[in-house]
Amino acid sequence: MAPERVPGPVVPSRAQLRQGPLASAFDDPSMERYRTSQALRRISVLQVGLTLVLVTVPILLYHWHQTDPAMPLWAFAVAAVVLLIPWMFVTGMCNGSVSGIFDLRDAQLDEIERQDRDAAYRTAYRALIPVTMVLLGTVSGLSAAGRGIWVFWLVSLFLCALLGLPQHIAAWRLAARGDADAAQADGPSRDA
Amino acid sequence: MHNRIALFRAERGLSRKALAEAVDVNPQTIGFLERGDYSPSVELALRLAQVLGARVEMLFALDPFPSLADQLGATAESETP
Amino acid sequence: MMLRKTTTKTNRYALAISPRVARVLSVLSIGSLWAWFFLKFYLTAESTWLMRAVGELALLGVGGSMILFATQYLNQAYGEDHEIDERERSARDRAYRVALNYVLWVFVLTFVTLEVAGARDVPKATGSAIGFPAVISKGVVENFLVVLFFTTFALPPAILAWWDRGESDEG
Repeated sequence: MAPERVPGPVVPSRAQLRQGPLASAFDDPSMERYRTSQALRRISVLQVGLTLVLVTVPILLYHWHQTDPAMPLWAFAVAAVVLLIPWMFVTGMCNGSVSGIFDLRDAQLDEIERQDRDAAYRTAYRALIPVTMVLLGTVSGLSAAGRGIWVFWLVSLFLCALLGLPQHIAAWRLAARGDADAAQADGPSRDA
Repeated sequence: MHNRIALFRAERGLSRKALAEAVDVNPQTIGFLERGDYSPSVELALRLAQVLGARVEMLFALDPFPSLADQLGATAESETP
Repeated sequence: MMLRKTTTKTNRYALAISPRVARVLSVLSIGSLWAWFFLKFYLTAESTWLMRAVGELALLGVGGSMILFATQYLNQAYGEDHEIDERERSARDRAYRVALNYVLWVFVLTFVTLEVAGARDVPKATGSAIGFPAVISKGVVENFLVVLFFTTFALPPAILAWWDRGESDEG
């Protein structure tokens, strides 16, 4: 008689692993509307736009305050807070649209999700090296020209880009895949 | 995931390097596979099975494989009249 | 240290160093770059000999990063997908993830530290400051970007070296 198969340790199922509040939020059916190709691209563009505004407006207001003391400093603080709220909301949407692949643990993701996340990080990191070099050159140029405010603007933008780049890369990849899937679903079946 | 790559490799008299060359991976990758530190893709699993002359389910399993000594013992018992 | 073919599919030539040496080199080069950055931030213009000594740290960091970049980990860290196998690709992607998170954290922590520490006791807090962050001058930003550039280069090979068990190909 052949010996019985030895049972291995009990591995929690994907559903069990995705029971936490964060995973449940990403699995909510209402999130599906953010995951169409069009929605993915729109949210990405919106997030980039809001980031630009969030970085630019407070810096300009502060600069204005420095050059013209009549400009109240509280305007800078109010602008920063007012702009931060929609930015946080859209950034959350951006994370939700890519199914939370950057926020969940490895075990909570399936193989394709892990692959998408890794590809996004890989592209972002490879872009970081030439971007840092260009930024260094630009900052040196701006410093020499005495445009300190733009140095600060560029560095802040660079930090925001670092924070959001993997999400945007993943969003555009997922959108392209969605388009390809839709085209295949509309076309004649290969098995026909 | 559990595997019997080391067992089959020894049976076939292959070094890690020879097996790695046969399946087109880095020799260190064979070590990772044997220790269970890396789960291969379906493609690599199929290539390993092909080179080692075994079926994939003989090489890989989700549950631990029964010990070889137990299996041989059970076979010997069933063959004893 | 010698030039040897890598064990990856392309068999490129790279500096063959043991994982242990690579680990020491990574700590030395990345540590020197950060030491240079922070010491330079705190030093005043009067201490010129010290400035020169600190400058040597930058050279050590840059040199170490370049050596690390030329080791056998180069191919795995920066090679094309088809040049490495699937396990190596998976390790490389994990290294990129760790490295990117490192870059993000040091970015935020460095500027917060400079603001908090610098606002209290940095002698050159005034003068060349760029405006908004009171103590961060254009020179500080430039130095930070230099450190970031070289550490970004060296990090993926360094992380791969830290993960390398250094096991033999035979077995």
